[in-house]
Amino acid sequence: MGRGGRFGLVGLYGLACLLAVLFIAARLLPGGALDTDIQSLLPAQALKPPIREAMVQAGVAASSRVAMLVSAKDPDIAASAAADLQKRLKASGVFVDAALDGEETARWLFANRNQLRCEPRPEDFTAATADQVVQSSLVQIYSPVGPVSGEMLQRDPFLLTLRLSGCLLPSSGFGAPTPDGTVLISGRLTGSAFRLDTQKQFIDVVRAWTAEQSPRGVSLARAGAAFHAEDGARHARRDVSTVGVASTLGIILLLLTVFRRPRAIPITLLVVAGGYLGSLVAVLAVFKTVHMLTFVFGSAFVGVTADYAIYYLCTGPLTGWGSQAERRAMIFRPVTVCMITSAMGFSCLALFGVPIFSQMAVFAGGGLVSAWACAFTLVPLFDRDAGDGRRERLVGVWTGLEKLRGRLVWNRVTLTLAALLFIVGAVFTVGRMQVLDDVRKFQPRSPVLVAEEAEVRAASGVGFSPNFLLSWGATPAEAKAREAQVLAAIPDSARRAILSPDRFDPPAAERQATEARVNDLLIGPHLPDRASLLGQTAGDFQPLARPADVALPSWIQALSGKTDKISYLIAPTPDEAAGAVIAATRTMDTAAYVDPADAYSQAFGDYRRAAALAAAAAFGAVGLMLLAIYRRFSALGILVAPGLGVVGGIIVASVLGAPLSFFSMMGAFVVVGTGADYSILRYEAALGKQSPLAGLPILITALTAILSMGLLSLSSTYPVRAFGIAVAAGLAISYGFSFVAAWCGSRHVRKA
Amino acid sequence: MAKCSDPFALRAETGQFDFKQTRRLANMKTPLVSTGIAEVKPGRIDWRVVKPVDVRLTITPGRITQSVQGGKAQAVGPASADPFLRSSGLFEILTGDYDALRRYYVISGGQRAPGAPWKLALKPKDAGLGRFLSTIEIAGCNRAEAVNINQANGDTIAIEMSAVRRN
Repeated sequence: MGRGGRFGLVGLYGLACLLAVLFIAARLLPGGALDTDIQSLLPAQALKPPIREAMVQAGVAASSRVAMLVSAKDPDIAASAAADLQKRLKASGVFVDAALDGEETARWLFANRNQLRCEPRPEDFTAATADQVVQSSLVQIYSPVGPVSGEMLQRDPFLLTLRLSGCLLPSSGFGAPTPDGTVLISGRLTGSAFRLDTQKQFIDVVRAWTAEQSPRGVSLARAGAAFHAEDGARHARRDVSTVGVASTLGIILLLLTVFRRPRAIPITLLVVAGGYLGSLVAVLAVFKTVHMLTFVFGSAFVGVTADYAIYYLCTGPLTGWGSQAERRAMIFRPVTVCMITSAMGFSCLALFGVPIFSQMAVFAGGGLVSAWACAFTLVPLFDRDAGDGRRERLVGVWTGLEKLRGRLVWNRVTLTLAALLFIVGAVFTVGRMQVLDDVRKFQPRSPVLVAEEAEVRAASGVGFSPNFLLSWGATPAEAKAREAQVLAAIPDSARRAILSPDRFDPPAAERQATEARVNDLLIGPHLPDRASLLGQTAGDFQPLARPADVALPSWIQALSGKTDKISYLIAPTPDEAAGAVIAATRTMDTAAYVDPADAYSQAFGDYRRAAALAAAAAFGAVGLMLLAIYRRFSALGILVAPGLGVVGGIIVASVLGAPLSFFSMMGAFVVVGTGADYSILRYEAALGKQSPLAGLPILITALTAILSMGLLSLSSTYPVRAFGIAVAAGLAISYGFSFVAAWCGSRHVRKA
Repeated sequence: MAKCSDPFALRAETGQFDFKQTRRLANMKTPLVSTGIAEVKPGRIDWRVVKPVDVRLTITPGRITQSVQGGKAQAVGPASADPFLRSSGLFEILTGDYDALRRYYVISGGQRAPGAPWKLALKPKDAGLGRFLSTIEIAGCNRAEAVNINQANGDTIAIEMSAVRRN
């Protein structure tokens, strides 16, 4: 290609980058393109149609609940500190106090007192029930702590509102007395606890308050998913940043040791940045929203493009800083083959219809192509020469290092030892390998928060079960009928524990039937006596009066929903009622007991299996591509090292006690995509395709990849560690066994 | 005539006493009268309404449980207790620990003269409590003998307590 043509390509790539930046800004600035909600990971296909939607909705409702117990030795200090926290939370706009929900609920129950009931069916409200209601209301009237008033008795002479509060609202702890010197603050967040923005705003308020109140001797016990989610994210961030600093320093040191020129660092970063630019453009162009996990793993995939810069930098000392054309020509073919096979491998992630996998495939593909283009257009502009005085010295350094690397060769003993180790590890793994899909075990819950949660529960009775009964049908009425059917089939004690939205807002026919029975069996026969007890006549009472415009409480509204074709109801179910609900719904196809943690675990299990299949498919696709490029079966020898790398990653993880999971499979993908490169370069060299990259260059790239991703194996967060182990062990083995590809190539040459 | 004690220097007497509770509800002509027996033990009061219904309450500084007609004792929650009685120091009111009540109330009144019977008026400090409760009046000599609870909606509860019978 002529000089003009090359400058044309440089200009074209520069223009593409500029347009990419504008496009990314246009997509990201309005907001909404990034999905930070972990619930979006739920697989669309693996669950029944309403379960996914209901789980997301129920997850928001359950996860948003928080309770905090403010304590101090002096009750006055506890009270003032609690008031201060309530004020700050209210001002933040992300918290709704439970008291507001309580008042809303009380208004609703009063307005509908004659149409709602504690019994499963209207006909269960019998004359005997009416007698019990009369008696229990009499107790309330005479009890020294009975919350009755003259005004209330005029409209609700049998205190049906209080009866409904007792049977429809499970023991939530709201308003329950707390020990002296403690104040309970409970409520809900206005968004999901798993949304990073909501989480941050809420936690910032609590943290600022704690910093101010702690010196006064005030302590806080916290309960709720928001605290656990923030704690987990903070630990993961700390791990990743600690490891990140260590790996960055390691890579800088490595590049400076090898190239002895600081500019090697910005040049390497330039290619990675070019890769990210391409990734973002591709993924934002194809998908309306992109999940954060795509960025986490996609970045790992794209991070390997630093290799392209390193390969070009290596051509400097290799050629004594020859012409740009000569240096480009030296690496164009092998690097292009590496890019194509890596892109082919990562694209296999898109084969399984899992949205997040498809996003990762597009993210990685866009990044690889862009980084490849950057390496051959922009990078040569920044690495023209080392300068007359330094050129020879740097070539000398390189030659020295290459000699050192040359000593790293297998011999019969080391190879036998490695093979033995591999076999022993494999046997151990077959016998001991464990699989981990349970999201509850991905990250151990903070013992501090678990203890605080127990403290809140002991003091207030506030529980946080995220599980629920899900009922659905073609219409809201059908969904309500289904829920009523389940509730009628379970014991009374279990039914009382369930927070059922249908029981707060039953169908119109049921309302009428209930009101008729309340009127006929309770109000009609018993009102004259009650009026007489209070020195009144029956006409002085308005037992059927109903205030207008009382809306269904918002927290109950949040427990029902609608998809295109289905209406559904969510009934939060505590553990003690789970068995009864599971038994009652076992044979039903329009109601189910849902444990979100189980569903998420199932999703991660599905993802792990899909990723394993995708990795196998990637081997197949890369193999076909290698056959198409080299047109000889010996090229399949390239797959041996990355194959051993993937298997070795699993073995090492197993030996280190890290079970196989979705995260290990993502690590395996990096090994397929990157590990194959080492073998390709050695195969090319063996074929005599002018590839001098098989020596020191692939050792440098292997070390940078292990430093950047493999060090994550030191993390204390399981998903991060599992990924790191799979990558570190996989790439080390892929590098170590890349001689197999060289042997296949040289054998082929000898045959020819 | 025996001299009366300073209400803020009272010591809770243990033992049993009879009580009569008269609840007057706004808009209702007939007051609701109930009677029963209370027993004061260290850190706890067993309050038993005998007539016209059987209700047993156990009142401690941090908790109230209620048992109806011999049934299981249950913690008094939001659905079954007046908000002010749940959170306003009922234990202290009944045992005469009036200094402790300053946490919740502005307390006025006292003895007209040293050794004379006393009368206290308690006004809630908290606006939330003030929504339900206007004042609590307590009268006595060597112990609380009468408690009048005036609710914001016009309802009143009057509790008369007899002399303590030592066990």
